Amino acid sequence: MKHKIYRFIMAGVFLVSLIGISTACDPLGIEPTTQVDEDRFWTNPQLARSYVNSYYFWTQSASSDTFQSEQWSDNAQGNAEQDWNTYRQESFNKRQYDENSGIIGFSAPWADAYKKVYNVNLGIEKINSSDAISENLKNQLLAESHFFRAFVYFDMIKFWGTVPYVDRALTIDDETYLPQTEREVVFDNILSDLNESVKYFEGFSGRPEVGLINKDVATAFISRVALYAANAADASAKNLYSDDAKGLFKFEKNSQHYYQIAYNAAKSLIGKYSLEENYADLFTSTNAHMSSESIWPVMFKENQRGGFNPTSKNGPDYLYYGGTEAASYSWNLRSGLFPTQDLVDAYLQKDEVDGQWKNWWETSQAQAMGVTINEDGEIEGESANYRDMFANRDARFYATVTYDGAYMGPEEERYSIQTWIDNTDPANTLRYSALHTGYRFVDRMDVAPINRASAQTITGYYSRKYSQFNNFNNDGTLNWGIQRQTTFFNIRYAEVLLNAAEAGIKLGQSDAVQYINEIRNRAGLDNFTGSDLYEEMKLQRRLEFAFEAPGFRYFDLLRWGEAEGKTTIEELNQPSRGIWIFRKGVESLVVGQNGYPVQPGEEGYFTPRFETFSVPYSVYGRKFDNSRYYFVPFSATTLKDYSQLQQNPGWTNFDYNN
Amino acid sequence: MSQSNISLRGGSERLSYYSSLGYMNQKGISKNYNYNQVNFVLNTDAFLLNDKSLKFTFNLNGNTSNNEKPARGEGVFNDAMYGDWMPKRPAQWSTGLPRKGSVDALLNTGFNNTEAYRFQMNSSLKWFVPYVEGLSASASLNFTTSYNTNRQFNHDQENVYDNPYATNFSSYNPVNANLYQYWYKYKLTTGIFQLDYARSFGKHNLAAMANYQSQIRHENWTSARKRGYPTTLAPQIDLGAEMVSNTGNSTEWGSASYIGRLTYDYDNKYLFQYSANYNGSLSYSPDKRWGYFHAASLGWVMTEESWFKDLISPEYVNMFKLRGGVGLVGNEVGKPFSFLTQYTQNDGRVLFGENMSPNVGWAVSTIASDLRWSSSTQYGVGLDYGFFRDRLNGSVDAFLYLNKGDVMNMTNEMIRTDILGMPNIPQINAPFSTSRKGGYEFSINWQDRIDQVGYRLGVNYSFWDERQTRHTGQSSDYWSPTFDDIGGRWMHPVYPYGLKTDGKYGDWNDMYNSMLHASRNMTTGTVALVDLNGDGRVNDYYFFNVPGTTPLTQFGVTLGADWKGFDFEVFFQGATNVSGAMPSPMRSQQSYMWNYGQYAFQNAYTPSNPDVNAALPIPVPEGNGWGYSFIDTWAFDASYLKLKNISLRYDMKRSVLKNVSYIQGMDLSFVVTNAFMWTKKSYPLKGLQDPEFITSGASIYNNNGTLGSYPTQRSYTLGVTVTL
Repeated sequence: MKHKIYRFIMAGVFLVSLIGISTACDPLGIEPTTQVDEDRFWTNPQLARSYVNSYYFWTQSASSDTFQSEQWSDNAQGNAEQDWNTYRQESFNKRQYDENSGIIGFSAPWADAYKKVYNVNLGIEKINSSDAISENLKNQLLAESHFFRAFVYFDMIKFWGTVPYVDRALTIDDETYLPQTEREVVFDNILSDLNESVKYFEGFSGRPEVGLINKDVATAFISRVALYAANAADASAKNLYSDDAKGLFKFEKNSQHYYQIAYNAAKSLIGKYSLEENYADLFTSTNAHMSSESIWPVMFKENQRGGFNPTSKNGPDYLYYGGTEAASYSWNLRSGLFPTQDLVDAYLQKDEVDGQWKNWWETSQAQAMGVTINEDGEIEGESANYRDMFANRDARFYATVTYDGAYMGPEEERYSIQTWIDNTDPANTLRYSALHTGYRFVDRMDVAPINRASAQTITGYYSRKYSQFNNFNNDGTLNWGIQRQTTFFNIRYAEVLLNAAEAGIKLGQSDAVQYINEIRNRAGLDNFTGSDLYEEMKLQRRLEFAFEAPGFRYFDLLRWGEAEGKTTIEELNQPSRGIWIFRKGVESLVVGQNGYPVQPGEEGYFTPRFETFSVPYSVYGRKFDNSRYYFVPFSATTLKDYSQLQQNPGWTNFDYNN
Repeated sequence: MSQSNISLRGGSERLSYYSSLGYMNQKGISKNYNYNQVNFVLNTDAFLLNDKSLKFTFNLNGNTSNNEKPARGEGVFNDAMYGDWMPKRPAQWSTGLPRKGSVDALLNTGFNNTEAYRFQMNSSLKWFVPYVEGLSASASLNFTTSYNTNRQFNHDQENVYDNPYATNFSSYNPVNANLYQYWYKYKLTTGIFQLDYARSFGKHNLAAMANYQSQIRHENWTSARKRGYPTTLAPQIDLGAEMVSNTGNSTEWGSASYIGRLTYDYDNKYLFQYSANYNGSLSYSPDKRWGYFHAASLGWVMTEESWFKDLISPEYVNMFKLRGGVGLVGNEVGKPFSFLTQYTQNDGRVLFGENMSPNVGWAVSTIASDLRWSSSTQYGVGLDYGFFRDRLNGSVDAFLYLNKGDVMNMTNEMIRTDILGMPNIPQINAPFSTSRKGGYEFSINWQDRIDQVGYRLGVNYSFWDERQTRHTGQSSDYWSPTFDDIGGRWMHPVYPYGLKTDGKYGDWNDMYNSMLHASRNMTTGTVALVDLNGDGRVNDYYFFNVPGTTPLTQFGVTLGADWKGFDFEVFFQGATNVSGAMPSPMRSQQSYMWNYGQYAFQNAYTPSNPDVNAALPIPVPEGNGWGYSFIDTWAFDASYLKLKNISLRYDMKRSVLKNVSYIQGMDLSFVVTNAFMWTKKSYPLKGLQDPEFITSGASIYNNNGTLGSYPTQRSYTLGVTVTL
């Protein structure tokens, strides 16, 4: 009997353990722990807010600090080297295309952009139909969603001219072989999305935080888009694109219609903001996002958001001045994005004698230096005081360009940047003098610098905008690896002024000149007295936004070129210019013994000489001699399958192998 | 390397145990490499109750290991390959000062150490149910857990000089010194409940099994990175000046399945088996979660039939068995939770507000698919035979698999996925079979004895093949006719397609009259491309239709003989219908080939060896080669025949030591492994890589894509085995 009870107990234990095992784990009841399913996602207003936040990851150059479009423009000469993490523009600038893959090494926004379109469209549908989101929040989220749909399409048509317009989240059963929508309709859709955004903001009672889209951002964006639309309408009126069977690039409305929209939108913001007093503060202040000029700031801060830190790129790669044999330090910056002489020439200089603002080579200071213009139109001179050419310039010059004799840090010798070249001994490779020029082999100045030398300037200048010289290592070197607390502006008030001016000029409004003067005065210049206000507007736009993210210059040149019916854009059809400054340096193989220019009276001294030049290397060439280059081509691979698309104008039967 | 092990085994009638403890230490090629490991095992079985009807099993095993590597790991050697040739960069400058950038210095930029623990526990109870003979029930709980801690410390090269005359060490920047610590925890719990029944009723033998198994897996990890270390002597997370990142995550996964099996035979003459699985997967929606798969097989041992014995004498045919089976085998396709439309948080943050406060963003990451288990219908037939009292024996098998239910897009209409813009295309199972796999194998062995000499001969051979039979959608009907793979083999893991070549250019006149690639036909010795579609351009990719890196045909031949305690055997092994994958950097896609090519390119066209039939094209600079694009010669014929083993053994006990009572046995042996090898003349890795172990990846960074394995290694082994 005892035996049996024992057996029962054991069997019981056994059974209990079985039941325990099978109920303790419900393996198929597990739910995802890192994601949220759709049904529950849209019942949570905070998640809906976060969904809209994700659009903000799309703003240009927010994902990295490439000033890509700037290097395509005549403001910058990029670096040809393929290996550094900098800027690669050779095939783009030279219009080297491949029939099957488009521009070599570059793809215009397409599939990724449609992913964004899908996201926004899904957002608009889900936010509209959600019961969990309050009406007020809905208005804000929908305003932002409509804004970003406009934002994405605007980005696409800058490259493609026009694209298939999708205004809802497609499903797998929908037709996806969609033809392009007419360019005018896409522009109108973008503008109507922006108007929609403004309308939703009017129904929103809160005040969007700094950095979020608000009504003013949408309004300012209307003025930007409408200017592009006006130019596109003019291109149509001038029949720039003959190779357009479907008439995709034809406009019904004229440019005045769009200029009026741009003018009204910009005008409505005039006076609501004001220009930051000190131009440089916009880029160097850690508080720039709160500037009176800030409309849509994009902010970066260490350990919070990285990806935009030009401090780590602007400047030379080679040694600091004043190194010793025991301790020498390198900048280790790999810029590869150098301001051109054309840009530097555009910053006016104040004449010391008559106080007038003039081209720098026309001032009395220049005369004192013996500046002449040679038969190629290049500027030459010889003077111990040649650095006077960089003094008393437009305030924006100093915020944008690092030049020979400028400091990257406190005004101490070691932080000085010297881009002169010692060309007295062509057989010798320059090592410890002329530390910051890209010219190492002076007997071969028509060959592009390679490897690390290509991270040193070939134009004589380094880019400077956004550099913050506010964090140094113990040894005194710039600590550039740290993400600075910095801001770039997707929209700032200066653009509103210039947009108002541009549209105003075209509409014959008399207030245009006062907006331009506002821009000029902030830079230290006096009021505009010339005759061609339109050209002045173009110039101020160039100077105001040079080396800024997102870049303006390249697309400005394109849209103005379109409006004027140009098939060749001269600025984009010639190599960049730079400046060579020749001085005698103390040269030795030992670090620290030298690194200095020879002083007057010392051995080998000669008067410093300078000349501007057109960059001779073929790798730095530029081409824009046909209207086809306004837009990128669809690849043969795409068109083979996607016959509903019309090839962009000028690309059909183009001989890619030529 | 050193290794030691101690084990203990013992027990009584009711209790048995086995335990062991092991220690291993392995030193690397430099002092920065070190690996040591401790293992332990404890297995116990105990029979409980008077009648021993309850069996308790408790097994525990585990190990802990420490793996120490330099900060850059194996990458150090890759780094060292770039730039100057390694012998040109010694550890010291000419003045004797330690040199910055030398291999030694690169090894001293920190460490990458991993400490790992793994424990496995398995406990089960088995109850031999009284009253029902042959029935037992068991329940077991298995528990596996592991913990890893990885610590990576990276800093500037220390105690080295920038140049030969420097008076100070190369600069050390505390901000560049950062410590990364990563904690990982893994837990897998498995519960199994099983019923077994096995019993014979006269000539009827019956066995049945039913099983339920469930698994839950938890994983989580946490990591932290800090930087700003003024010294490398105290690399602790606590001491870093500032936090760089701090992250962590956890995931869970589960599965469940029921398994049943029924086996029956009558008098070992007629055999039958049926087995079934019922599997649940979290990849599928609750109504499609479970898949039922089963298989049945029949066997007939003809030689057990009396009529067969009457017909053919067992002297000639002693065993002849026919087998056949059909089954439906399941395959889990799709990703975890892919039946849900899901939203995921972006990696980065966006800053809003006056104080630049970080905000997160969420976006749709997965559109729900509608998948279920895919299946393969598998047929197999075979026979086993023994003739002449088993002097001749062997088997023949053939199989055919029809693979159905491959993943395909929810529509098989052509769609522009770019315009659609979804993060993924929702998927379903193809309602038809997309590929067919079949094969056969046989073995024949003959052994006999003539007087004092015994001899044996054995051959085995196998062949398999797999063909595409149907595309899963119109979109995979490639736009180029040279891409159609229907009826072909799409199995090469690296080079299923590429450009067609026709030998190499041997002279400039040839090149002048040929269609050349713009940048890659820079010299003689480069490959001549073929213009397949006649459009005047040599850019036509086509589908190679080559076998993969697993041989389709494999065979082995054994020849052996013995005489008076001597035993001699040779074993040949071979494979054909196999393609190699050209590893990096043999494709000339890495510039350090300029430094090291002299070792690797003896099989290439070179100016001193202008052989247009050489296996490899001329080495060219990185940008001028086909290193990153594919040409057909990158998938080469890797057939081989090896004389794998020659062995000679002698049994001393048989004669010499016949009368030595304290030695139970003593064998002498001499074995040659990889004695000879034959490859095709076109095999490009002669002397560099054993074709038996070919690389199978395209990446120049992973071991499976680089020239990682050794050349064929011949070894000689002399052995003595003594049994006391």
